[in-house]
Amino acid sequence: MAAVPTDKANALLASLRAVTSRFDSSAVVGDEELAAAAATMRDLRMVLTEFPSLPPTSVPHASAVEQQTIARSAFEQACLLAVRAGDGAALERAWSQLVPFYGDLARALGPSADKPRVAGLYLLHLLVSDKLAEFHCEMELLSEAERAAASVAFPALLEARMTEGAYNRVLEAASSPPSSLFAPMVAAISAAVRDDAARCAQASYRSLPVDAAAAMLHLPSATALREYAAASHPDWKFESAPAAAGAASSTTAAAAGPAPRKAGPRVVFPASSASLDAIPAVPVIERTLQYANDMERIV
Amino acid sequence: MSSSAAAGAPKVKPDEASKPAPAAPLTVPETLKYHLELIERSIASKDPSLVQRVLRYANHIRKHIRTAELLEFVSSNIGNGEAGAAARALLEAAAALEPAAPAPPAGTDDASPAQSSSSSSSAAAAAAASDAKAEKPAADADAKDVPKRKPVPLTADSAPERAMYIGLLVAGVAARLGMWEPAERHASDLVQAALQLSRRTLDPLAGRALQLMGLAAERNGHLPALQPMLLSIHRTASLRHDTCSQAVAINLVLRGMLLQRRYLPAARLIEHVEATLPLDSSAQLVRFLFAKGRVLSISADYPGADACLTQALRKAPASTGTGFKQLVQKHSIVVQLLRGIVPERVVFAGIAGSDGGDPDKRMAAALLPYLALTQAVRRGDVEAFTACMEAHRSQLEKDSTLPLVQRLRRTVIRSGLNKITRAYSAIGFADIASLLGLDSAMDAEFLCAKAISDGVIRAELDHDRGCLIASAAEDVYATARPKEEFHRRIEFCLDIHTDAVKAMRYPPGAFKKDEAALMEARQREDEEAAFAKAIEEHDVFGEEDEEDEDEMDM
Repeated sequence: MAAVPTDKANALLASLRAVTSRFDSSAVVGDEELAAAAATMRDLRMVLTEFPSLPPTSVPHASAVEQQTIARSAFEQACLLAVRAGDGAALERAWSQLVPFYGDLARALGPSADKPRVAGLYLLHLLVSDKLAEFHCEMELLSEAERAAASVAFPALLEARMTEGAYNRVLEAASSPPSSLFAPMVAAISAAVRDDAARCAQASYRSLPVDAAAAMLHLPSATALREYAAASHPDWKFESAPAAAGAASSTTAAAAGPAPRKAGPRVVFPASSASLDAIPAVPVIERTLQYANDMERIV
Repeated sequence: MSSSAAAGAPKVKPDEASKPAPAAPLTVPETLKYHLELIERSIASKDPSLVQRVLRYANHIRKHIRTAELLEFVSSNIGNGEAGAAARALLEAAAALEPAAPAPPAGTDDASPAQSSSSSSSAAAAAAASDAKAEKPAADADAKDVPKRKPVPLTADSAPERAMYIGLLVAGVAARLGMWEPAERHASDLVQAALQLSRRTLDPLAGRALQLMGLAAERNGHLPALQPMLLSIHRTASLRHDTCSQAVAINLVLRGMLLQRRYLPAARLIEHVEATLPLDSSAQLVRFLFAKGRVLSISADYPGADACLTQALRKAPASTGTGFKQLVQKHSIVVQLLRGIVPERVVFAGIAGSDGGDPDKRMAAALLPYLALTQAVRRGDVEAFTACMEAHRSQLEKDSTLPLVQRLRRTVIRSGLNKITRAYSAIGFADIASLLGLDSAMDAEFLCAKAISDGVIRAELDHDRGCLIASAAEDVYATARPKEEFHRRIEFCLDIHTDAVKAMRYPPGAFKKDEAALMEARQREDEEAAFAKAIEEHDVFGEEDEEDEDEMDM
C-alpha cells in the first residue's frame, strides 16, 4: 500500500486554519490572502483524493481514523471559506460532503471543535434561502449540547422570532451575531425581515406616522423610508398633514377615525383588496364541471 | 389424528367460551395441521389468497401456542433436516423461559388462565406484536370455521412453504417470550431462504418473516444498520413483483431512518418510492402513511402531515394495533394544534373518528398529557402551556413529539390573540402583552400585525392610540370559503373511490364465463363495422365506381 500523505495534508490544513481563524475577529483579511487560501484548499482536496479510507469507499487502513479526521477538518475549512466568499452553492456542497462525517462516523471520530460554528453558519444559510424544511430537519440531527452552543442558538433564535412575527426582536438579535462571519448573512436576513414587516404593516394599519414606520422597519430615517417605499412599495402614499376629508386619495374609509392624529408626515397604506369577499365565477364553473365529470365516470 | 379428543390443552377463545360451541373446538396441533393443509391446497390451486388466510389464522392462535405442543408438531412435520434442528433448538431454549402452562380443565375456565399466563409474557411483546402484525377485521368469523373436509395429503410441492410457515411460528413464539436475538437470527434465516428459493407462493410468508426480523432487530438496537440489506431486498422484491416484501422492506428502512432522526433522507426516499408503493396490504400502507406524516410534520408541512396522519388513523385496523393507533393519534393531535385546529373532545375520550364507537380507556389514558396541552393551547395561556410541556417532557420525548410541541408556543399565543379579538372591540397593546404574558407592548404590536397579515384574526391596528380594533365578524357564507371546504371533502371522497378501485383484487377465473360473451360481442362489432364500411364505399356513385372498375380490370 502506498504511504498515505497525511503529513502533507496536515501542513496544508494548518495554513488554512491560520487564515480562517482570523475570520471571526474583525481583522482584515486581504483579497490576495483569500485567493491564496482558495488555492491551498484546492491543493488539499487533491491530496484528499489519495486517501483510501474516506466514505463512500472507506477501505480499512491503519490510519483510517486520522484520514477521516483530516478530511472532516478540510471540509469544515471549505465551509468557512465559502461563507467568507459569500458562495452559497459552495457552502451547500461542502456541507453535503461533511454529512457522512457527522453522521455514521461521528462515533469513531469524536466531536469536532469546529462543528458548532460550521453548523450555525449552514443553518443561517438555510434560513436566508428560505429552506425551512431543511432547517428543521438539520436542527433535529444536532444533539442537545450542540444546540446550546452560541453559534447554533443564534439561527434557532432568529427562526423562532421570525415565525412568531416579533420582527423587532429579530432585528435586535440580528444586531449581535456571535462572530463577524455571520454578518453578511445577517444583513440578508434583515432585508427579508424588513419586507415581511412591511407586508404585515400594510395589512394591519391604515396609516402610520413616518417616524414610527421607519422605526418599525428598522430604517435609520424618514428619507430612508421614502427610498425603501419608492423601491419596493410604490403604492404607499406619503402625506404631510392629518388627513382631511377628501384630501386623502388612497384610503377607502371615509372617516379618518375619531382618534386625535399626531400631526406630521404620515405614510398611508393602500386598502387591502377584498379577496375573501368576492366569489369568483369561473373557478366555480370549472369545479362544478369537474364534479359532473367524476360523477359520470363513477356512476 | 383428526379426532378432537387429542391430548393437549383444548384451546378456547374468550369470545367462543360464552357461546355453545357447535362442535368441539380444535386443539392447537390440529389447527396447525389444518393450516398446513390450507397451504397445500393453495399451492395446488395456485391461489395465493389461501396463504393469506393461513397467516390471518396464525395471528389468532399465536398467543396460545405452547412451546411443548409446537415442539411436538415440529418434530412430526419438518423432520430431521437442519431447519428442523434449528427450530427444535430454539423451541427448547424457549421452553425454559416460558411460564408454566396451567393444568387444562375443560370448559370456560380455560380462557382466563390461558389469557393471564400468556398476557404476562406477552405484555412486553403485546405492544410490539400488535405493532408488527395488524390483523384484518372480520377475521374472527374465519377462525371459528370447523373444517369438515377430508384431510388433504401433504405433498413435496408445498414443503418449502410448510417449512417456512412453521419457522414463522417458531420465531413468533421466541419473540413473544422476549428472546429477541434468537428470533432475529431465525427470522433472517427464513428471509434468506425465501430470497434464494424465489417462489411466488412464498411471498406472503417471506413478507411476514421480514417484518418479524425487522421488529427483532429494532429490539436488539440495530435496525438502522440493516438498511443496505433491506434496500437490496426491496430491489429484488420489486423485480419479482413481490408486493409483500417490497412494502415491508421500505417500511422497515423508513422506520430505521426515523429512529436515527434522519428526516431529510427519509423525505427523499418517500418521494421516490411513493408512486410505486404497492397498496394491497393496508397494514403496510398505514405504516408508510405514519412515517410520511412524521417526516412532513418535522419539515413544517402541517397540512400535508395532517392529511397523512388522519388517513393512517382511518385505515388502521379496528380491533388490533392499539399501540400504533395511540401513537398516530398523538402525532395527529399535535399537528392539528400546529395548524390552528383544536381537536374535538371526543378524540380524547378515546373514540376514534367522530362517528361514534366505544370509548377506549387505554387510549384515553395515553392521551391525557395531550389533553392538558390542548387545553392550555385553547385557552391561549402561555404559562400553563410551558408548565405542561415541562411536566410531561419525558413522555413527549418517548413519543418523539417533543420537537413539534416546542413549536406550539406560537399557536398558543395566536389562539389567545383570537380570543382577545373576539372578546374586545378595542384593546391596548400593553393590555394584550400582559394578558398573553409577552414582554412588551411593542412585541404585542408586532405579533398582532403578523397575525392580521396571516389572516388569523380580523382587526386593525392603530399605532397612535396604541390599540387593536377588532373588525366585525364576517359572514363566512358570503365568501368563497364554503366552496373550498366542500371541494376538500369532495376530493377526499373521490380519492377513496380511486384508491378502492386501484386496490380491487379479483380471484383468478372470475371473468372466464364472461369471456365467451365478450368475444362474441367483439366479433359482432367487427362485422358491423366492416358492413358499414362496405356500404359507404358502394354508396357513392359516379367517379368512384368507374375508378373501382378500372382497378378491377388491372
